[in-house]
Amino acid sequence: MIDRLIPYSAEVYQGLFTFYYQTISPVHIAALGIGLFLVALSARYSKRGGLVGQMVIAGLWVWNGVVFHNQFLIDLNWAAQYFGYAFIAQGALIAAYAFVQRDTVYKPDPGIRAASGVLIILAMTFSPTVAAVLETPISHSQLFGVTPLTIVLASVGTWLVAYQRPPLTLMIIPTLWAGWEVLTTQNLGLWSDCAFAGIALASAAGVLIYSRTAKD
Amino acid sequence: MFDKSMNRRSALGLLAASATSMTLPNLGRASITPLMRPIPKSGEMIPTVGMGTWITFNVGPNPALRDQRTEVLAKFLDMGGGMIDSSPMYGSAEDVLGYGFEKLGTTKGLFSATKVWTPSDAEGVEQVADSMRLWGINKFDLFQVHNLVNWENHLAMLRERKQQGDIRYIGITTSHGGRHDEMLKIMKSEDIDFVQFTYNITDREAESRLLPAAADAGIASIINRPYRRGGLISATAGKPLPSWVSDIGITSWAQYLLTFVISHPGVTCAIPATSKVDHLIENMDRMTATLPDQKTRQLMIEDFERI
Repeated sequence: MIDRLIPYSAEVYQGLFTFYYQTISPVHIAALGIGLFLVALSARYSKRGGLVGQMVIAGLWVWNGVVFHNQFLIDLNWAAQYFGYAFIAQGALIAAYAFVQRDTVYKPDPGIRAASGVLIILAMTFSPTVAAVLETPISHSQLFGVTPLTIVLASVGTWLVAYQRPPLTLMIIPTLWAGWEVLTTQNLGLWSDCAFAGIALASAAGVLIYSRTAKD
Repeated sequence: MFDKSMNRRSALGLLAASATSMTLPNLGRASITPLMRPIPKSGEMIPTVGMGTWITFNVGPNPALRDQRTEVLAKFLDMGGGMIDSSPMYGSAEDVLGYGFEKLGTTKGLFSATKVWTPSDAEGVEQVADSMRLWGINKFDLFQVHNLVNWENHLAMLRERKQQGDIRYIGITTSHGGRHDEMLKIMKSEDIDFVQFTYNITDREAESRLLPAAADAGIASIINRPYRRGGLISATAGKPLPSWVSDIGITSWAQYLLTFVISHPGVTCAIPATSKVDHLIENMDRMTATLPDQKTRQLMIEDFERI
């Protein structure tokens, strides 16, 4: 069933990343700097830092919607334009929520929740290294900030740091996207991407459950 | 010209006559007589093996992959060409085809086939223009309504373009064995030249209804998914071919599966998709093969089911 919805091969999908990085260079390198910046913001938590971090994350979602989906993936899949709209909408949601709630939601927490968040962002920033360990060439890997899976996971990381109860409305699109990526990468036989997508899905779903059950 | 009311018997008679084959002018190989089948509405003969582009030609802007697909295209045309089928649904496939034709500087031997795929009437008109631009041609041999989407209005539009001389034939498609009832209804009620549907050694529903109905209506049949997107070939990995198939020149499971499809007398053209030159050669080789009779086809089914 799922194979009817994926009009490209694994070889072509991986090749798209290579072409994408060549075209947007050096943005993908600069994005690694953004990742480190987010790690620094999260590790030295402040209200202003929380707001800035969320605005950066929102911008990366919009980048993924406008550039990755609507300029690159669209060449392979007509549905990419709709995925792109979803990413732009998610960026707008993140920015709006962070701005409107700026005086109330940020609650510094040195506990395990925030530490997990920092670790996730750090792992995403160094995701090419993780991919290399899994024997995936870096040019075929999803690099921090400029590709969908990394931004889903990094977002979850920042929400764990910034929000005591990550809002449900922010979790819907990341959870759906991670689920779709699991199906897509499994169908294409891209197992390292599938592992990433599985972690993203588990993280998004975990935060979703946590935010429904956590006590203030 | 053939009478539009040609019945099943006369259509099958024509098919049988065509089995004696014709020589392609641009085959590039001496003394080979490839299997051709007639388009019932016109009598025009087309090669029985064409090429699909779903997934295989959707390579995006990657220059290396585009050049490699151009090599496949070059070999296809060099071996006589035939039908190449695409769709706006296939991502960059039409663009990649156009890139290849431009690079090769020829479309000789091409029977161009693509589709309209949108619920919108206006977008349907745009898709026809887009396909001509992307392929780099100003006239299509065949335009089809993809998966019967908005077929009433698109068929009317395509018929108009046919009268204007922009399109030579029109048709409808389904895949994955779906919507056969609706397709049968359209075959009976509409004046169309081609139908495209799924048929392979394991999906044989078309044998009982679609193929006979197409023959009755004098409509040419295009077969998609002859390998079930490679799934049937994967299922044979490591399994030996039945020894008797060497008698009919079959040397691989892919040839076994394609031979089964094109040996049905109601099939006008099968369109296996491939991204590799050696697989293309293997496919095209079937047009010069000895085709099995009905009894042998049944044996092919039984042997395949055994694995």
